[in-house]
Amino acid sequence: MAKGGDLVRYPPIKFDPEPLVVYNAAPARSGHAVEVDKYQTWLACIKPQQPVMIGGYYKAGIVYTMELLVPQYTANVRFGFLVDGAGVIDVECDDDTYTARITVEAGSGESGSHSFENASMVWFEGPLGSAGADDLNRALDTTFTSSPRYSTFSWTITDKTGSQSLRVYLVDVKTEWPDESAQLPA
Amino acid sequence: MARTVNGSFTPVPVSHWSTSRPVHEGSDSGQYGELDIIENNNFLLAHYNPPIVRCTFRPEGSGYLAGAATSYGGANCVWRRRPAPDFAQYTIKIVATNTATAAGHAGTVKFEMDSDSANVEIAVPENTSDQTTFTGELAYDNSETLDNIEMYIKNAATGVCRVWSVHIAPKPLTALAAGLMESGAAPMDSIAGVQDAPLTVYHRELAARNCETLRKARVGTCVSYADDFTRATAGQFEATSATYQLVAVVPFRTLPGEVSLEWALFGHRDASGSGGGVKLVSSLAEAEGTTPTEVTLGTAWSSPYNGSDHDYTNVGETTLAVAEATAGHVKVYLKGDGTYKAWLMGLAIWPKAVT
Repeated sequence: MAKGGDLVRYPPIKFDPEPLVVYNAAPARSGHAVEVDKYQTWLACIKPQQPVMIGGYYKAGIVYTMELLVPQYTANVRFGFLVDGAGVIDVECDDDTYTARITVEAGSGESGSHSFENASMVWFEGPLGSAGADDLNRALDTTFTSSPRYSTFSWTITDKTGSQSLRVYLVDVKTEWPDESAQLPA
Repeated sequence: MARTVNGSFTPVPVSHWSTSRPVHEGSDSGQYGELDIIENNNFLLAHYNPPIVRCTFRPEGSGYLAGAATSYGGANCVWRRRPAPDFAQYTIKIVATNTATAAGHAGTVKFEMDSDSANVEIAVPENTSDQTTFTGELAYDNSETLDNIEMYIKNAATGVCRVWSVHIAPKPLTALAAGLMESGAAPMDSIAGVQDAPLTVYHRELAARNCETLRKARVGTCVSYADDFTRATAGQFEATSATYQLVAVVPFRTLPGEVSLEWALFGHRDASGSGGGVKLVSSLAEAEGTTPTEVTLGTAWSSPYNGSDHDYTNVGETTLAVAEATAGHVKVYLKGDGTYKAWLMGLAIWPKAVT
C-alpha cells in the first residue's frame, strides 16, 4: 500500500557501511533514522558472493539446468563463462520470454588446441530495455520484486563445427539490480 | 507487541527522511516511519541468506551421479561447509531425472549430515524424463564449526535416477524469537516504535548493529564444487605430473571487512603412488609472494569420505588472505607423483566471517 510522501525509492548511492553512533543529546528526528534506513536498503540490494560453478570442463550436447535463489531487487541475471575454443552459448530462464546467446572465438577450438591456461572469461552484455527476440547478447531479465525467490535457469553449449569445439571451465552468475537511478518496487 | 517478519522489504522514499522531519510511527499509520525500519530490520534477519552450495554437474558416462542400485551405496557427493549462523533448516533444490516408467518406481535422493545423521529424502517420480526441480529441507546443526553434507542416490526397481544440479541455501526464518540470535543480532519488537516517539537510542543503535552483524556474519560462498565421489580412480580434476598443474580458477568478490577465505576440500591420490597434493593461491598471495596453502593428499577414499577431507582448521592448512571489498581469484593447483594420479573431488571456498 502506497503511503504519504512522494514515491521515489532509491537504493543508497556508493554506500560505505560503517557502525552508527547514536548520541543521546542529538535531536531524535530523522538524522539517525536515515542512516539505519540507508544501511538496511543497502543490505537489501547488495548481492553477496554466490558460488561459481566449476567442473573440469562443460561441453556441448547437454542441457545444464539449475535452480537459483534470486535475491530481492534483482532486475537482471548475467552469465559469465571461462571458455576456450569456438562456438555459442545459449542461456534462458523462466522469467524471460526470450533466450540470450553469446558467440565465442577464444582460440580455434580444434582438437589438441584446448588449454585451460589460455582460457578467457567472457560475459554476456548488459540488459536491453526490451529484448524482443531470441539469441541477443544480453543479461536475462528477471521479475523485479521486493522478495527473494527461486527461478530456473539453463544453458547449453554448441560447438562451432564438428572439428571446432568449445569448452567452458567455469560458470559465474551475477544477480544485478539496475543502478542507483532505478526505483525499488514497493 | 510483535517481532513482525514480512515476506518482502519495504523501500522508504528518500524524501521521507528530510532533515528535522518528524519520524512517524509507520507501517499501519498510513505514513512511513519507525515500524517500517523495524520490520525491514527483521526482514533482513530472516531473509539475508546467501546460498552455500550451487553445483551443476557435467555427466561423465551413463553412471555419473546416477543411482546404481535399489539401496543406497556410498555417498555420490559430499560438500564440507561451515553452517550459516541463525539458520537451522536448509532448502535443497535438485534438478533430477528418472527413466523408470512403471507406476510407483520413484528414485530417491537423500541428503544427510555427517555430524548427526539428520537427513531428508527427495523422491524423483517415474516418468521424469525432462530435467525437473525437486525440493527438500534439511536440518543443519549450526553449532558445528564445519560439517559434511552427503548426497546419496537410489534407483527404484526399474529405471535410473540422476541428479543434474544441486542448490542449497538457508531456509528463510518465518518467526524471530526474542533475545540474541547466534550471530549476535537481536530481532526488534514493534513496541519500540510509537507515533511521535522515535526509537530510543538503544533501539536505534540495535537496528544499526543488526545491519553490521548481518554483513559480517552471513557471508557468501565463492565455490562449492563436487565430483561424483563413487568414481574411485577418475575425476574431472586429476593430475599425474609431480609439479603443480593449474586446474581451476575461482573468482570472488569480497564485501567490506572480508579479508580472508576459509576452505575445505576432498581429494586423494593413487594408492600405488608416492605423493600428490593441492595448492591454493589467492590473488593477494600471488601479488605479495606469500607462502601458498598446500594440502598433502592421502590414499584413503571410502564413503562417507570424512577421512579424506582437508580444511583451513588443520595444522599447516591455513585460511587464504584476500583484500576486502574487491574482486580477486583463487588459483587451484593439483599434482601427482609423476607416475600416478591424484584427484581433487570436492572444493568449497567462502569468506571468513568478519570480526
